[in-house]
Amino acid sequence: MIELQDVTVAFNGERAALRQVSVAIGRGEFVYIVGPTGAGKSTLLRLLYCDAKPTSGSVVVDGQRLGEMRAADIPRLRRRMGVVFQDFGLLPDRNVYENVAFALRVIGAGRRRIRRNVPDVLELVGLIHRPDAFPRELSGGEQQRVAIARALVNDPPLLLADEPTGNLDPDTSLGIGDVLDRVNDLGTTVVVATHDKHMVDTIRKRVIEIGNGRIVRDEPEGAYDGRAPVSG
Amino acid sequence: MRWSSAVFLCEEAAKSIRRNGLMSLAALSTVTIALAVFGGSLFGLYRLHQFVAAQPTQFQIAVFLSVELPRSGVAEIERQVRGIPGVSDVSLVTKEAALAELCEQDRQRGTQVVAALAGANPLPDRLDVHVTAPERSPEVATALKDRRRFPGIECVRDERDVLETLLATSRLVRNVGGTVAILLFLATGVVIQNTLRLTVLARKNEIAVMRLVGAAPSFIRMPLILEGVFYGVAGGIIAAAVVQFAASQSSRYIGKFQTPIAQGLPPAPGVGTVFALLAASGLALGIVTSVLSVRRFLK
Repeated sequence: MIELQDVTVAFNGERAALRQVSVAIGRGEFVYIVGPTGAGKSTLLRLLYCDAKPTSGSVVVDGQRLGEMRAADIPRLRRRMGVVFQDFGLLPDRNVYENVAFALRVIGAGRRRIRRNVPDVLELVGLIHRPDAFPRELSGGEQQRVAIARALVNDPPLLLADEPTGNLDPDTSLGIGDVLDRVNDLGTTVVVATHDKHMVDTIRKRVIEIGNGRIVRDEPEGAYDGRAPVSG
Repeated sequence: MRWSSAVFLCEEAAKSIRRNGLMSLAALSTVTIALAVFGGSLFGLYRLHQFVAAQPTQFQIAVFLSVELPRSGVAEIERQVRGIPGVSDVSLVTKEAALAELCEQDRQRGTQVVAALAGANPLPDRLDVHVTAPERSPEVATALKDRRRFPGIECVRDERDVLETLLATSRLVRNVGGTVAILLFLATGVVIQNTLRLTVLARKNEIAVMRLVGAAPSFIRMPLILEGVFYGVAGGIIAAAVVQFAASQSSRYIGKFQTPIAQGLPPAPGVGTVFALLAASGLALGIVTSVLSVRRFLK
């Protein structure tokens, strides 16, 4: 699904955010990207959704070589992935249903598809009972569920989440982790950049640790701080 | 494009026009004023052009003959006038025919001039002299005013002064109206651009989400372009109504003064033409400004 080969990213001649990074993530995997602030986690995700370009090396996502991709082809690639951020990015003047449907309407989806997909994805994230609520009426966890629903409503094979639990308390974070795990169980590849030790240590998945722009650890079912006893 | 997508784009444009409130109103009123001045100038210029174009066929010099002149003398002067270079035709209007003309004018205007004459006819015989081209009329008029050559001519009246005033007015309307219209067009462009810039800021979140979920760039731009087109077309239609109202009021006013020079003027452009022209100008202004704004603000 994702393959990075010797990828270096440097912005305006500054110190490289990523240096000689090589990693492969298979279809249907769930991967945490961990590391201190400024290590390069978000840059790695930005590369994947074409918000940053590699200075050198190759990035392949879903069979597409991104470095050589024309700007006009980026929207088509982005329809094949969902992206979730720490600040949710919901539209305050639209309710839950409209926020989720918005992602389909702007890519020209028909009404029938919208009527079918939106309830399905709201069911998946556990918000089928609140379609008429506005973002201001929702808790942080519920808002993030709406953001996840919006990212998934187009049935993308890849979900990228950049600090999805950064604004949430530990229990709510775990709820979001469970939603992401459920999404992954349905076959979607999930890549989560996070600082959330509790979630990483509780919902055990592959962990890739980045430090100073390099991959310093890559272990299956890893813990946030390296090898730790598997809970339960 | 699907029907539902077209509806969605229109809804988004309408939402942003409502959200911009006062700024939208400012954009709309500026477009209206600019197009009203533009349309008004164009309308006035076109009418003047119509008038000037009609002159070669209707321009004439009225030559009033001495009342003591016998009919044979009238015929001799008519023969001599025909020989003046630049004269295309001469027609005699006898004092009896002139009185009949005056009666007809009384009837049309509701005046009582002929009745006041109490049966007398003080009118002289008149020669209506047509020239081959309007620019020949000064030399023809000068020749006719030569007292030694034409002692039987009492008075020569041509519409040269009126024509020259109208031509000067035409130039003034063209220059001032054109300059004001261009300046207002530029100002309108700036106001529409600022409004769309506010729209881009207000829609920052929507635009970010649209980009993230893979909306085509044209789909992201379209609500902004529709908004610009709305300002242009709506402003054009309101401006057309203003121009049409002003034109009808001014023709009603001018119609009160029947002058020989105004006779034979072709009819004014129709309501449909004025609306179509100004709506099309507004559409062009809206499209050009919004496309430039989108290129500038939506990089």
